[in-house]
Amino acid sequence: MSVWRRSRTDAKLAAIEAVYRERLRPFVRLATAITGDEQTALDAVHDGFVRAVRYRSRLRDRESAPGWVCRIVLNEAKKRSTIEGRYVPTPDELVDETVSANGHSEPGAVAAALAALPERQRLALFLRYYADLDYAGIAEALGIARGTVSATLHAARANLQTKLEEVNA
Amino acid sequence: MTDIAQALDRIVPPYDGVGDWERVLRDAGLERRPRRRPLRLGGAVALVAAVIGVVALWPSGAGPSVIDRALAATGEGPVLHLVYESDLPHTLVDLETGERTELRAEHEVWFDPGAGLRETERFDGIVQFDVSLSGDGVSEHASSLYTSLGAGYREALESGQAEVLGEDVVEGTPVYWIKIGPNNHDVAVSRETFEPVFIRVTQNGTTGLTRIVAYHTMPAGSAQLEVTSPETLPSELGSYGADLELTDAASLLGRPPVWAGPDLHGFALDSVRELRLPASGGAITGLSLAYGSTGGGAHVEISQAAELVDSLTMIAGVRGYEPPEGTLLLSGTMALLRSNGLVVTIHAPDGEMAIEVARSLRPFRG
Repeated sequence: MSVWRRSRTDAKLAAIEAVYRERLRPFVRLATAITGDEQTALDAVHDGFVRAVRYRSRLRDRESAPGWVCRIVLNEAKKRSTIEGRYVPTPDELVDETVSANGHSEPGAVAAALAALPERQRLALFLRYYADLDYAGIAEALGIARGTVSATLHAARANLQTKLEEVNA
Repeated sequence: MTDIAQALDRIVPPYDGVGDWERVLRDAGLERRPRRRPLRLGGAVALVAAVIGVVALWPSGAGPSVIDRALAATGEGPVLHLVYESDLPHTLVDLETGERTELRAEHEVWFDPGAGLRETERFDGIVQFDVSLSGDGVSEHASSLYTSLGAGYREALESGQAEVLGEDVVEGTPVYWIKIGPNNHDVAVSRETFEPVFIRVTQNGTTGLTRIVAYHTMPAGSAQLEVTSPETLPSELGSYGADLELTDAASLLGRPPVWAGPDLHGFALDSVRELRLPASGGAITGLSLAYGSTGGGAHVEISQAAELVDSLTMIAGVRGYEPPEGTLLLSGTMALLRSNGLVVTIHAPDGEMAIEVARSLRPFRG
């Protein structure tokens, strides 16, 4: 028996709880990428879930729950980001490390390349890699059409690659 | 190209916290603290409930019960994905301090009734075996067991057969014990996630406890039945070759062999023999030193090779694993360690003696 059928009295609450159990860790990573600080990210995720529980009547269905909750968490994280687009690396993060001996870009260089991406592309990457959302979830979280997600991610990857090559050149 | 996932991992490493869903509910204004059912039940029933620690269920409408939440945590579908710890631990012994640490293999099961069964065992993350059987090849016993642990567990929770026995703390984990139907299986679910974390089986008056690392049930067709590590176990272990003089052994191994001196707790060095050890790229040559009679009496045997090969380490019950420097892996009366650059196994009358032998090992300089 599914969660929905079992918890007739509050199926939406059960769906949000399922998202919490399955996706807390990815969501914390997402929020950390945006706020730049894990403790701040934990607060953002907690408050995001609290809001999701309070406003659960707006949740359409179980399938859309991961993206819907993620959208709320994303907004909470962005509210806590003291600098617009916190992923802009600080000078400390950019200490002239660009390419390591093994040819891999170092964190500062990657952060710089990410910071140079358009926000939607950057968030799409974060939602895919950190929040582990599928295309439907990314579309829900960003409030864009599902068909746009693939193109956005493709452009983000290509742009990131180009910018990394520029940094590493 | 720089791998994007790796690059992003370096910026924000994985988070491994567990969260606090109850706090989310409280902060959202939903109180879900379990309320004990008033003790109005008459005499004997109330007494029995108190004695066995039956957890009061939440009154209807006040939130889901333990059974409800355990059910919600099972997922849906007939496919079982289960990871559990082996019942038979190996022991890692620090040779300097004697400190012991239990290491258990993890056993991963994918079972899709009718479609097949895949079982993978890992020790310290290293695949020990990975086998997949099609539906016809799955034994009745395995099919019955895994059906019971998968769909059977969920059905027991749904049907009302399951009964909450009480709260407990098992190996540091707060749990609720749930009795599953009329059989002898009890399942402990985490008080935090309500996912199964232990199985307790009582047979013939003996109770066995197995720690569950992961438990999911999923829709049909979602089982990962294809093996990813198709290597098989070595078809044979080592075999003896020619008798040697210990002074010749260094050329055999490419470095001085290790030994425990000419005499070991009253056992004299009895034989020095070449070992033929099958390996993936062809057999390699090792060395066996036997102290005492190997003809049936108590004895100690020290086997060694310059390479880590399964045909040697499987004697200690593992493959591809090397204990950290300064430690020894003990499996019953067999020990495995790295000494003087050589991979060494020790067979002794008991585990304590194997540890003593390991401590006494030194290079033979001839």
